Amino acid sequence: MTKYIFKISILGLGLSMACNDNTSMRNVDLDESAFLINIGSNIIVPAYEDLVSEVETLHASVGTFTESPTVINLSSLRTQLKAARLSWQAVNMLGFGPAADVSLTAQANIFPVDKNQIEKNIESATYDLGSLSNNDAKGFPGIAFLIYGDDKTDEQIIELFTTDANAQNRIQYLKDISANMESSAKAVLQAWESEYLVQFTASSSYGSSVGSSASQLFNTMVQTYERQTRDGKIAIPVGVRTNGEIIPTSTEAYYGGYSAELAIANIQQYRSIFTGNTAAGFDDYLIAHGREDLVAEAIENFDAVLAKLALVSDPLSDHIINDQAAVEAVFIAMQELVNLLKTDIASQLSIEITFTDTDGD
Amino acid sequence: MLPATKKITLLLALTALISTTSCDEDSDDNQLSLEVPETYTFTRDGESTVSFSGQTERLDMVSEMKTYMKKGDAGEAIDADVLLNMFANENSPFSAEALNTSTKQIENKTFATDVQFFKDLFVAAEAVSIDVSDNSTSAEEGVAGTIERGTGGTFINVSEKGWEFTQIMEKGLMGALMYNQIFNSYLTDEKIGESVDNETIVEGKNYTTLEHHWDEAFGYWGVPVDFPNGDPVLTDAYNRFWANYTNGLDDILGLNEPLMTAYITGRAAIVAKDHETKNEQVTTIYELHELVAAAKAVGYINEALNDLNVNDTGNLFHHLSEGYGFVKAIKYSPYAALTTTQIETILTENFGTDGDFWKVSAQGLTTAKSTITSAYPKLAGVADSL
Repeated sequence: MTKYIFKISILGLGLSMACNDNTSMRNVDLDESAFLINIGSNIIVPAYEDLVSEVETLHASVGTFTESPTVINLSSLRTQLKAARLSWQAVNMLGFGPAADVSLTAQANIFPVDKNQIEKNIESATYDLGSLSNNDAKGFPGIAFLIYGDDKTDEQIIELFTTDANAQNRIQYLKDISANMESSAKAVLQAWESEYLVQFTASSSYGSSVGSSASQLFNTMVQTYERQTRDGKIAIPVGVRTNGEIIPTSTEAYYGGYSAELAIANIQQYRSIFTGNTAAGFDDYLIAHGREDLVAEAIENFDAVLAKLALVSDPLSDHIINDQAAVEAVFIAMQELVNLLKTDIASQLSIEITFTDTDGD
Repeated sequence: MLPATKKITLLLALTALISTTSCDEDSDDNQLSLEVPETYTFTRDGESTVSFSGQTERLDMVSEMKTYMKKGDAGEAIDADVLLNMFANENSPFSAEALNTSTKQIENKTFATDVQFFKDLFVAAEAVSIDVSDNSTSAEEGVAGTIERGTGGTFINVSEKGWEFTQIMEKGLMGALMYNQIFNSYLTDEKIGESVDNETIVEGKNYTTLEHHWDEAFGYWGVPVDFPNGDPVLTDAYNRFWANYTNGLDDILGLNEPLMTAYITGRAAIVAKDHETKNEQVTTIYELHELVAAAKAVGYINEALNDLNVNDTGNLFHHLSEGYGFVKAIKYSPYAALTTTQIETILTENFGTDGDFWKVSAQGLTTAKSTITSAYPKLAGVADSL
């Protein structure tokens, strides 16, 4: 046994911070700043700008409708809601950093909506929108329920906002959940513009280790793709998680009836982040590693999902009832992409998949 | 065995640490020279002087309690009496017979004011497990019951505040038993100060009272004596509690080596009757153990922020329950960088009003995270990686 006959002082040793060796995420000679700047400045920030602009307009439409609940204003509000929900599809996979700090998804898009909770909140007029149990009683699905309702004519909806005993409470609730979404989206955009874009693109965020920008983006993207896109939009409503028993009311835009359209917009954004559109994306790193095959396979998979979605018509909830197999085919195509992203692509990019459903204890 | 390259690295590292005082002068100062071995191995007359079997037994007891508690998560009705018996080691509750016949128990080593908390927790866990077993009661705001983590088919039982019984117990005992015993008992002057007998060999044993106390602190950490140089670093038997979490942070914080070196050096200093060196190690040990708890707390807050964003309430409660335990563990250190008030604020406000996880918000969690990273500057640069 080796023995050290020294007087050793640990004081002053402090900590060896063996973190962030910052090996290029892919050990290839590519300009990482170009990649992060492209993703951050050309894709992420514009997506949040769109979202903020749409939810601001949505909040204004809510104001117009609640002040003057006419059929025309109801129709405009519905049109604007759809525009805002489409803009959401470009940010739902970006839930790290500022979005996590306000839990933006929880503010904006938890579905299916809990309509009983909404009615309870309206009736009592006392609610804490920050409470977990109200996550599925607000956001886009909450607004959609309030302005479509179950089998209601436009006139019946308008009655609920005018002559109904709880009309004032309902107006207030609609305004509150719209305002909550608007302020949350603005906070995220502001954080990206004021400081987070700098942090996201800083050299200290290079590499592929846990906490690097590439790792956070890739992990959040894959996790969101798995849970919210594959499961939330398709697998759960089509019955994959319930032994084939369908749940059409679980579709994203059950109220409004354009869930398939939202899903297509969503997949297109995943594809954009993967390719970086016309500039540097994850694909460039795979190519630099000589893995054109993985890029081709991924693009093929994205396109396969889009092709299967194109065969599904809205309302998705009806299509699930009439042609379950076609919607199941979307799920199967999505699943292939999950496997590719989580195994071969993650491994080639040296990105560790850090999320799991259960962490073993 | 250390690979040759590692030996060289270690040698270089140690060489760099030698104080300006030369070795010769040192030897003059001390009758006995300080001999620091590579592993936590110390002998007298060819026989080991190291003993911490009582600590290993208690860790094994906590492992059995966790295994039993998890039956409740799996949907079975569990019996609070079994947990209470395990806590006090009464009525042979353990599956390992050696634990039933052991003279050791957890309860009388648990931070005194927390004992009733754990007993109440066991009783509540029983009630909820019966309700879940009989009625499949789902957890809701204000309602205890079962909840799924993610969509993977793993369920946990939680209290009406969303506390996962299994995690609150396990992480709770990591603080109230293990850290408490290290911090408030074995590393105090009363147990390892200069007045503690370091001359007499305890009858029937091969160690002095002082040596044994140090070993008992080491035993609660729970790492193997060759840590962190085994392959694997932690075998299954060791991959639990603080050993597991210290090692899990090594890539980011690199605490394995300095913490182990401090324990070995301190023990060597006791043999060499070098109180000054021993006291220096004590300072390091307090600091690094505390840092592990703080780092894990931040890590679970990160997980919880993600869960909150995707509305995964089951995993949110799981991760908050772990985070709650790690934040609470900090309070057992008398030298904690986080004040008692800050800890209370995190646990009873930032983690939801009155610790009600149903009331948690991203804002509260980010506040907690910044409170912790401000108190531990070493975590600030790596806060998002934890």
